[in-house]
Amino acid sequence: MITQGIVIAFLGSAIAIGLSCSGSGMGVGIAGAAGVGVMIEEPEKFGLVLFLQAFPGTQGIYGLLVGFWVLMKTGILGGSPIPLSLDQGCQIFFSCIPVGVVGFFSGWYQGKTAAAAIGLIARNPGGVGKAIVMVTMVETYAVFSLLASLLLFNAITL
Amino acid sequence: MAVCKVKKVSIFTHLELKDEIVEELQKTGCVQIIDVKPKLKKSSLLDFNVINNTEGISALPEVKYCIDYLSNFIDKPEKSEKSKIATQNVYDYKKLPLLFSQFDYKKIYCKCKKLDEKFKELKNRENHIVKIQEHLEEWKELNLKVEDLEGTKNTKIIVGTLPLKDFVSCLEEIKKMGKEIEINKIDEEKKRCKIVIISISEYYVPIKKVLEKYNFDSFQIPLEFAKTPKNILEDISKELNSIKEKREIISNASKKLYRENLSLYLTFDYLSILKSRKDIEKYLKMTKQVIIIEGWILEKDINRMKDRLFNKTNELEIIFSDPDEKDDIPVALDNNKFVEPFESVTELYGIPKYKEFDPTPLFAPFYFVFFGICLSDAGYGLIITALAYYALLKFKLEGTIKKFFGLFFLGGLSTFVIGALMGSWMGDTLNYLPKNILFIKTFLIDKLSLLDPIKNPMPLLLISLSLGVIQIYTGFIIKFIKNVKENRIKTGLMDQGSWLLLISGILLFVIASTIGSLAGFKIIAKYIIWAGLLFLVLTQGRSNKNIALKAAGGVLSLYNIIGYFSDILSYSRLFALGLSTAVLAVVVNTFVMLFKDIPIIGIIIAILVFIIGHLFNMVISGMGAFIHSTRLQYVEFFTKFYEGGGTPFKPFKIITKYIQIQTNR
Repeated sequence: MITQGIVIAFLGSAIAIGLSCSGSGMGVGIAGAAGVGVMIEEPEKFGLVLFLQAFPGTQGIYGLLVGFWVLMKTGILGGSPIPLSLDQGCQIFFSCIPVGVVGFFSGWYQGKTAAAAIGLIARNPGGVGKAIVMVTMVETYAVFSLLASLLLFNAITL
Repeated sequence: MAVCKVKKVSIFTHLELKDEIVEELQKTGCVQIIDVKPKLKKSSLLDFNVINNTEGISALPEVKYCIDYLSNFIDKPEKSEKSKIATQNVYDYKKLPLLFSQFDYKKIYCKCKKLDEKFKELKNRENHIVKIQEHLEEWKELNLKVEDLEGTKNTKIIVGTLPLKDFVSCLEEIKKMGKEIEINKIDEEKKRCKIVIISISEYYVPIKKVLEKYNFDSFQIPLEFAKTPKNILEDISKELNSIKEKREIISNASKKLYRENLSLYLTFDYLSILKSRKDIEKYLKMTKQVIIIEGWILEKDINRMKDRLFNKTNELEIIFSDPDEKDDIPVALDNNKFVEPFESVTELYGIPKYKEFDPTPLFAPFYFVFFGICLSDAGYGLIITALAYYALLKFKLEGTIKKFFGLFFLGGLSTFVIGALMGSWMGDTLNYLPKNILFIKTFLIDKLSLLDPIKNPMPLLLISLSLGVIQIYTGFIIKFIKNVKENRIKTGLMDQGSWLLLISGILLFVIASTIGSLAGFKIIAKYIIWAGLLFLVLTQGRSNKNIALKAAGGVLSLYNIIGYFSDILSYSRLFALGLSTAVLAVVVNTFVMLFKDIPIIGIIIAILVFIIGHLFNMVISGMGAFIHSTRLQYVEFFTKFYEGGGTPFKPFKIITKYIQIQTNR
């Protein structure tokens, strides 16, 4: 049976996946463009560039993770959804917000940082370690938002 | 342990023995040769004249050219096979000069060059006529011989295309000029029509002018050919075929040349060795009779080097001295087998300065555990360990790459152990095992696993945070010890001691409040906290001169509490990443079960989804585990005590690209 709660849970899952994947898409795009620029001159740096380009991709994975987790726990994925109350649905929706919204912005901005880091390794390959740290600083907040979403979701009694 | 002791070495020998000594040094491979700095102000030392016209060295680019050219013609399977034969052979160093002299690389070079030139010529010709071919394809209908298009003395012929919409107006304009003009439309395409205009010579220029106005595109006459476009097209396709055949011949000849001359690789490496030996000579200094070589050597290598040099000749003098503190002393790390792979993480950040200590053994255990918690799946751990072990065994890796694989090997082990403790074997795959082997699950999960983060996440979160507390604590203690070692006990006590006091107090307080039986310690904890706070306020502003500023600085330093608090919170990423691996694995398995029920092809799709899904999760989560474990060391741990920024020790040694060389006597 489809209750109002289920509908709201749908919305939550959609927000978690949709927003965070959009952010990741933008970030990977920005970093990728910078990477292609570097490879015009130095194709041998492909491995390193790809590694840095992959960084902003994690937000999308975190979002996907939360989204699927919601779908699984509510039984939507299995085809027999739990009849959620409106309150439960809202709780699920709110628990999806951190990973979606933070994923969108942190993915986007991490892409910019990754692009700058790619520029750095083009000129100074020895700076890889530090470049990676800079990019990971942005990642921190994506991980925290994932943490928040998971903890919030875990607190809901289904 | 950790940072190797380095000595400065000066070698004096007779000028004539220079080549022998340099060669022996390269074979020993334990001295980093540097510029000779004369200690006397009035120095009679001369720069060594580097002579670079030795035959062997000028040949290096030629051999490189041959290798590059021929490598274009290697078939894929051959590439791996043949180069293996060439590269996996271990050659004796003594035999190299002989092998080199037997090999006539000049001949090969000439052959390669000839083949290459011919090949390029054919390619150019091909490009040229293909262009003409494309152009003529459009003019197949033109039934005139191209040589006639030049016209005669009195008549001119113009051939080209006009935009369809302008055709009529253009025609009228031209016809107005006179009667002696004939215009033929031979074909019409989507937007342009092809026309041939025949006129007497006087009209040629005015007609051209009109045509230009209408965006006329004139037919380019391929003057090198004769007869009609149709004939020419036939000729061209014949020529293209013959070019193809010729190229095939060249390609086969090149392949044969390659197969017969695998010694090129050996030659290249041998010549590079010679070249590096020549390059090093610019660091040497000499007097009329004596040559001086200076460099850095690791203390443990001193005897080995002495043995080998004196074995060659007795006419030399070796002096060792302690490094001057002003020098940029190179740094080499030396750790036991367990810690060594973690050096790669240190190298990525920047190795320590000579006077600093090596942080690798200090963070290695933390890194080991962190990686395991982030990935936390016994199945993935086993796979990563196996892959890394295979790579270490199969490929003869060296340097940083080898260390990285070692790191993954250890990380995999840790992942396996921690994954087993959390009862995660490729996610919850064990739940889907057939009934008759279900006892595996009962054993692995019910007996081995201690906590299940998916069902009850709090314990893992607490473990992660406690690990953070322990590591930050360790960081403070290390900095304290560092200060004590550098005779700054007071600084150590004030800067680190006060913080240790405060943090211990807070920890004790938290523990005492959560565990009922320890409630009595609450008061003690409170006093410790107050003592820590007081101590901090009193000491942290001491660099200011004004007493008011001193107090303000002390109070302000309390703000750092927030920084350390956020450092500790940062370790919650271990929990988040660990949980995300587990959840993604469960999601993959859910999909597998969904596909399984489709008839016939369902089982195949299910297997594919299982493999690809788990592989994807392993790679992504593995990358996350590596990055975040590394970051925790760099940002949270190293900032407490570590600087880095040393120069790595790079000994002068035999470096080969393709073959392996044995230098044993």
